[in-house]
Amino acid sequence: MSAYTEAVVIKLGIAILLALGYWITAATGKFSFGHAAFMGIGAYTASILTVNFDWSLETSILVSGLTGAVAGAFVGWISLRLSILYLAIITFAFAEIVKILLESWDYVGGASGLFGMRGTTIPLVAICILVVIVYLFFLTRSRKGLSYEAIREDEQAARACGLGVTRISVEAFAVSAAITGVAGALSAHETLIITPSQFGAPQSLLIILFVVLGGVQYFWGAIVGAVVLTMLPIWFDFLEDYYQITYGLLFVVLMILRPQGIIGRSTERRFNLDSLKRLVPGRSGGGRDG
Amino acid sequence: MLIQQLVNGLLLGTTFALIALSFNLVVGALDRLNFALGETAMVSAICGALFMSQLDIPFLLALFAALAVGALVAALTFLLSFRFVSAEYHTAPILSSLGVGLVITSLVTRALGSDQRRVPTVLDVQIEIGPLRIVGDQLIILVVAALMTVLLYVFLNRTSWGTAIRGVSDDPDMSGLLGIPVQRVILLTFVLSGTLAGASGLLTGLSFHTVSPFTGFETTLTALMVIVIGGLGNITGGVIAALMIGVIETLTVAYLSATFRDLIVFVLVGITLLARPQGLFTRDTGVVGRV
Amino acid sequence: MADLTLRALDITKQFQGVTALAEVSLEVERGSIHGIVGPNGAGKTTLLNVMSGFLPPTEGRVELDGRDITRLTPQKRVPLGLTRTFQNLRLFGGLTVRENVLLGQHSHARTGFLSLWPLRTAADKELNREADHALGIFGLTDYRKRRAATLPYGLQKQLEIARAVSAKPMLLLMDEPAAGMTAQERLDLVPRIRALRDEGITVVIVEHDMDVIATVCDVVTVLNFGRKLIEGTPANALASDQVRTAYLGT
Repeated sequence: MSAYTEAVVIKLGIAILLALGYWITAATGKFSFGHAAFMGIGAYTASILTVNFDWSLETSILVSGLTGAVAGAFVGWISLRLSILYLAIITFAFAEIVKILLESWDYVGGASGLFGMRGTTIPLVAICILVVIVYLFFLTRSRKGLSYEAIREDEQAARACGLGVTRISVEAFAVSAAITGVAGALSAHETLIITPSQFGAPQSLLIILFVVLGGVQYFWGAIVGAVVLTMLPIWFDFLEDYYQITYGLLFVVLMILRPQGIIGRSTERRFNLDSLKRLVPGRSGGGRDG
Repeated sequence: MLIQQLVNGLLLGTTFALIALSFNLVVGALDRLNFALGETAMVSAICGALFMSQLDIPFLLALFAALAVGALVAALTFLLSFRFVSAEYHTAPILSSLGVGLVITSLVTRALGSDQRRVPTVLDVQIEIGPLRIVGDQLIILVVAALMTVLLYVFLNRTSWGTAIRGVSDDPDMSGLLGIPVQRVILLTFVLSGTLAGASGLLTGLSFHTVSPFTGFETTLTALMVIVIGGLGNITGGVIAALMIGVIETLTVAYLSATFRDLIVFVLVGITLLARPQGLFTRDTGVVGRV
Repeated sequence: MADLTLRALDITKQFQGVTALAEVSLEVERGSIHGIVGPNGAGKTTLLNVMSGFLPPTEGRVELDGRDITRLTPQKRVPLGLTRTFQNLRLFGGLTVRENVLLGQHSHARTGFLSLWPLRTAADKELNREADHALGIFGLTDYRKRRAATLPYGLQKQLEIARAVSAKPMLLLMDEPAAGMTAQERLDLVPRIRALRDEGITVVIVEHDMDVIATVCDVVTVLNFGRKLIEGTPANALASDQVRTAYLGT
């Protein structure tokens, strides 16, 4: 396998990990707008450990997962009690804050970042993906997974069934952040250099796009989204320059035409009184529940 | 001099207030966020700056141009990200508007390059009141911002369209049943928010004498911090919070250091979220766990 | 001293200047079917929301089995034995009928990391059997794999009750169960509510339909303008002059 192919495969693998990680929290219906922060936290944690303390990559990856989980639990606990607007704002701001802090922290090289990390191999990435897929396989067939879906469908109904909505959402968020952290660690040791600017809003949006493109209903939809979006600029290299415009437009078009993603059922027609509400000339954003 | 810094801070705060108002209008009307407002402000500012520096157009006209650009971009954002997006998906419009923001930034850098542009001084005077030294441009910023805020207030409270906007914010279904053209009112709300964003962008540009195509996210971030502290959707709260943060930022830079500036605002936001998530200036309307 | 499942004491609820409830007190005896009626805006649903934890009262207390639950969130009341149904139906529309019922059992099921299939214990299998049993009782077995949102309205209402009952509550609060029902469905409702009582569930029904209330309830509390107007057996309370005035306005 050529070095180029290897790089592409690893990049693909990391994208898949990021997508699967994000899917877990999207499965509860919670959309974070700053997941790249957890990727950055994982990347920096692992890099500090391997470069400055000579830890093995495998152990460092585990620690990144842990730091990701802690950061995720923290952010999740603050924001998941509040509405989705607050979640969007807090996660967005959190990512920017982490980026700014990293840029001013000399120990990690400030804006110039860290370099010298190496060691990510295809088997390593594959193992991580396998672990996550096995977890997701069981999750989606268990009562825990069912509770995630319930929260996504209707939080109030979930409360009425006794579900600790905030607790479950935070748990999902923390797991999601952990996996994202691991992906960050793997990515850092592949690209050899990490800078804070790598983990900004464009990266967060890309992660969201993986999942939103693939659809939230099935976790393998996220894999499809990740593969398509990673391979697109490789298959069509003229897209490389227009990357930002392309995803921006993709978001817009997707949200109008098929917000549930490519894979996943089309919207339900509901045979109850709620469908009458649509006949009222109301706003196209019914965020407030009665 | 403390008084000087306070005044500078208040002035900075007024530009924040305008962008916070622009976000709050949409939050209030739709319970949604238009994430493209930061870029809207940016593109308006760049157009305004271009008119002034390349085409020698006087400030006032350039300002109107900026307002128009802001209004147009916001209207477009409404159509693309809100109007035709299904109501079932609550996060979809927010995501879509983020996408729009990205597209705006890319288009601007492609069309006009990624360089910063100069915003020339408009009023080359200096006024001295005791220990205070106020520059002509600062006066302009103050006057324009104050004027726009007052006009907005008057519009919302004294005109029929303004009342329609407040009605739709409060209860869209009822408003619709009462015969109010809800979609048109929402479009109007977006247009208003766009003009505020445009003004904020150009005035900020005037304040620092420079505009850059990459300020979109930073503007959005600042606006979000302000509205969280002031309370989402709380118009007056947003203005007070904006002034407060303007002063805090200026004082921190003057007496501590630039890095502390961002940190302090973040800490403030954190405290607000933990202690009083509905905003420092909002009555408790059960924001936590929105039942 | 009556055996009380639920007590609401001096419940007051104010919303920014509007007083929805003013010092309403209610006592629900164990094993009874207790109705709450009143004209539109009387505060019935607000009272139900306070009793079920979806709204905190401005003042007052709610006790379940003698224990103060006023500040508890709805989800914490479920394991204590209190569940509810919703006037506008809150099913998990995208999930199957069976999944809806399984979720009703949440407070009795293990949902920690060890619940990941296939480590299913005997307790889990028992719960699944109970879910299927509930589906049978409510006539939903044939629909168990269908998405809840695709069910006809009457069956959706059944499903919500089935889900609420799966939590093995001691008290079920029903918010306008007869709303939107056909005449036939209303007739079927009465024996179903009685069957719930036979299962040992105390039932509180907020309802508009006087016939249902009169037929099935042991006690009726009448609310008007946020206050308790009168309380007693359906025969006494509903026929009283005060109630007639409240509803007809003279």
